[in-house]
Amino acid sequence: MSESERRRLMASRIKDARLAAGLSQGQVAKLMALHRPSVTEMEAGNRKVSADEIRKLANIFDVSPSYLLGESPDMLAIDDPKIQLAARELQKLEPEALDKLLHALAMFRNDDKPKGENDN
Amino acid sequence: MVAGRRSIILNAAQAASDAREQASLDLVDPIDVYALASALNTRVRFVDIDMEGFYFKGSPARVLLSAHRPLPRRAFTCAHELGHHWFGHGTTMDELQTDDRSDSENPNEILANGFASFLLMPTIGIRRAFNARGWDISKAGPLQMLTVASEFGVGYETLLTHLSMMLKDLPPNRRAELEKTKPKKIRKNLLGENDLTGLTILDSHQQAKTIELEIGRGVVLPKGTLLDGNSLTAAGTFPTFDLYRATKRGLTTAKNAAWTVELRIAPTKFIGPAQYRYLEDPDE
Repeated sequence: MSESERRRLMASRIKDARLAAGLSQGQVAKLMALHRPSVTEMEAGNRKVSADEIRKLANIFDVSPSYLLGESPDMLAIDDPKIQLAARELQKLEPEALDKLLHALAMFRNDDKPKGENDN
Repeated sequence: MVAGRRSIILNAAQAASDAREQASLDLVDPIDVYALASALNTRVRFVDIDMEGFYFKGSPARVLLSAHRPLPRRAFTCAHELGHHWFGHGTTMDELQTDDRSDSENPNEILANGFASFLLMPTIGIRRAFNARGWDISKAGPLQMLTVASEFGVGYETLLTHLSMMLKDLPPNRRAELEKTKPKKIRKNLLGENDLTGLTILDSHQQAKTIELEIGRGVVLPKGTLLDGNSLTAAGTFPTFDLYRATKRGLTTAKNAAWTVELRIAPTKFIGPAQYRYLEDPDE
């Protein structure tokens, strides 16, 4: 993936995660102590986003930093061990609802890491 | 099976009391179920998915609630998913339901349902709510039922089910009769023609400290209630109460001689983590 493709993917993931968090660009700017245009530019892929900003955005959106960076998949696999128990029930969902659920689960941050590895 | 069901429900009622105690809540008053979820280390998020709810057993545990369901329904489903969490059940998905799942035969579902019912509508609190107003549960009318449902943040039919199936304070034939009057009809009888998406009725006896609203929903407040905030718009004056419509995301404090309540106004069918539902938007 080229640098510009990587930046575009990251920009679209930031926007996607913001909308899934029910926040406006203005609200995110306020929570990040940034000016609103900075958030607009991040989502347009026109502004470099620092590692610290990715960490803060991930915290605010409650998603994993790797999702925002475009390093983890957009959808959880139906046979992912994390949802193994519910796999049979999930098959009852309409295909569109199932896709949306697997997408939501792919975004989430998992705190199952040794202490100290996580941000905050 | 009947005896088994009853013992599961008793177990659920005890667990609901334990959960309230763990979060330092009393066993009487209405609660903010989303704050309780947070106190129990679960993260709640409203999602644009056609289902009822989803409990994800993980670290952290997560509850996903469909934003498409009515506002009081979301609170009940949140409590139901917290039941799965409390009892250590695995990741589970709850499909769309037309009623309160009271006919489910799955012990885990009966348990989670009983937990939700008693968590949101504790026996002492519900009986107090009727007694304080001088109302007999077995004879209360639709408007009275909707008033108590509003106080506890649950749906009209959810309260009827609880009074009838769990507390046994409402005879089945009376429940069936009350169920014929839908909340929309009660609203129309009280206010006349209106285009509100739902109605919360707060009278001078209510004990809730926080009330969930969303844009498009109406709230009835006693005469003389003062408002601090700009999320509500006056929508009508009646002989014994004033009607407001929720019009803007944010917080409004309502205060009168009897109580002070924080009214939390979310966007219609809000999508996002529960803690942002009433966060004011500088872009508006």
